[in-house]
Amino acid sequence: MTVAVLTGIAFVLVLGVTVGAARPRRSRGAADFHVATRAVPPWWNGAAIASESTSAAACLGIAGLIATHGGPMVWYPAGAAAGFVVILALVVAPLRRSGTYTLPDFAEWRLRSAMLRRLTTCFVLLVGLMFLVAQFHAAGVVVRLLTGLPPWLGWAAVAGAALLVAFAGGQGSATSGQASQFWLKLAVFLGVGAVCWWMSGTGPPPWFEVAYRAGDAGLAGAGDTSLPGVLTVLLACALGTMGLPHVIVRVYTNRDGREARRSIVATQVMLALFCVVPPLYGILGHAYASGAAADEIVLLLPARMLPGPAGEVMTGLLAAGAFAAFLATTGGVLVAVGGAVSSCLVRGGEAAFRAAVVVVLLGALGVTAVTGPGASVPLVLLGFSLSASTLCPLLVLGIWWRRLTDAGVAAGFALGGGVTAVLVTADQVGVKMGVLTAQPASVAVPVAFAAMIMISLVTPGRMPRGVGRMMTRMHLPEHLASPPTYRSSTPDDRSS
Amino acid sequence: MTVGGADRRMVVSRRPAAIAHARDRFGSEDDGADVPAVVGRQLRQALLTVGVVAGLLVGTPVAALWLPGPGAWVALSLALQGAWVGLAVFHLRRAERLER
Repeated sequence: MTVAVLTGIAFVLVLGVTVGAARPRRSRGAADFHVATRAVPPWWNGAAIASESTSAAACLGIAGLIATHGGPMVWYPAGAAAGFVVILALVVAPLRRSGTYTLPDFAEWRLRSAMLRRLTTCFVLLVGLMFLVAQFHAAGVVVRLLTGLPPWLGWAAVAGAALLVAFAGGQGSATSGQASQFWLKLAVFLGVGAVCWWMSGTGPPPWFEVAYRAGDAGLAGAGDTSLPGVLTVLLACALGTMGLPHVIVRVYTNRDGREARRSIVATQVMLALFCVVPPLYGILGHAYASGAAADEIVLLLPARMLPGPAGEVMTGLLAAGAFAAFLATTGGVLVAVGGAVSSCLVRGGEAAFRAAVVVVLLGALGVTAVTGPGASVPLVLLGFSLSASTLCPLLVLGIWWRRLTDAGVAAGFALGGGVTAVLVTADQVGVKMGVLTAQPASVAVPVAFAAMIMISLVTPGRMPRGVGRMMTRMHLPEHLASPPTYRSSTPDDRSS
Repeated sequence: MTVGGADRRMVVSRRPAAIAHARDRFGSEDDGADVPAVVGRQLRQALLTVGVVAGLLVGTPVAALWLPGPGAWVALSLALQGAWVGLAVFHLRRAERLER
């Protein structure tokens, strides 16, 4: 078993690094470095976005939750995929046309406030850290469970490979690496799942229970099997996707708003292909791997169903697929957050980007070391909730509402982020106040939107100058805009 | 770096008067009432799509209350993914038509 698993993991890491580093470097400056010089076709980019979205939580966590918590969890993948329809409808084309590279860039350009840029960077960093820590913990679980080696070897392997990919070529290399990893993941998880399903053969396997019931929820309401609990998680996923730093930065790897939209549609198609995986493994895991922890069920399944060499090989394949997921998400988040942080602290530069990537990675490893190995879904869901209650209102109102002011956004950030922090802390120290408070998004999202709108309405004097030009630039398609209206950002013009 | 390029401009056969008007007036601080009209059309389409997403996302888990077996739940959740793809393609076509 150990040999098969280690071979699979090593294969994926080497493949990820070589594909990432092999792409010729065409970057001409810091901005190009972290946006792939905008030469990525929509299908390729869509596969990369899908690859980053199918992280540890999607590959291992949700299937485990379906197996342990039953039917209500089957809606989670639908919620995560719905987020991309919302991005397509509300965000993607105007954001691409704004010509700003990252969320902090957007905040500064749209509201003309350096303070908001720093605040937005903080939230991007927090959301990114939650995703990174979830991937590291999941990698630790795989290594410990399947080989018996210490978990930190798993963290180190993912961190080292992601660092190499990020250094080799920024977002450009991350794109090609991730697109290839998506197809690898899809083939492995569908293939092994199909073999296991076929092995379960005689008659349908025992189904899980399908009924909403009051249940004990984890961090950020993950695993809550009551109907309001499920609906709130779906809300957080649908609205939170747009604020995920690694998703949003990919919008800029397309040449214009039209191609950016097409990338998101491609993502949607690929996520729909992958969505068979969680229920498939959930059903099988419920029948054959009950009693294991949520993140472990998928990994234990082949060996439980097929003892002997065949099971070991399939376990090795699954480990490889899981590491492809960890590496894709870690690489994407690392490049996106590193780019955001470096351009906030110092004015661009490749050295600054690399330094930021190293600092973010060390920070994530530090948090991973001091926290216990939790499940991947709750951490990722907390990232979604925070994003939905801070970055989502900034994007939606910033794009569609002229009267948004910097004071309004700051108030929304403070209330949305604050309410989330208070509710999560209260829940963790054991203060139970019912379903609404166990799920930060249900309170924090409306509060953040209301605060941004109301404070903006009472501070009309702070509306940035030239907001009409900004709306023109975001909403007029490129071919209709005269050249001065539509300008793509130049490497030295990060807040244009 | 120029993006889109002249070739993209060549394929445009007609453009709505409102957009042309907005374009002509670009450069003055006052951008007139035309860009708001463009924004309004796109916003209505976007809100329609988001409304359908919200309806399906809330409606399906609620409707599942009255559905008997786990097979139906799994099938519905997979059908939702198909619905997202359909909705995304529909929105893409509508949004691009509005921009022509």
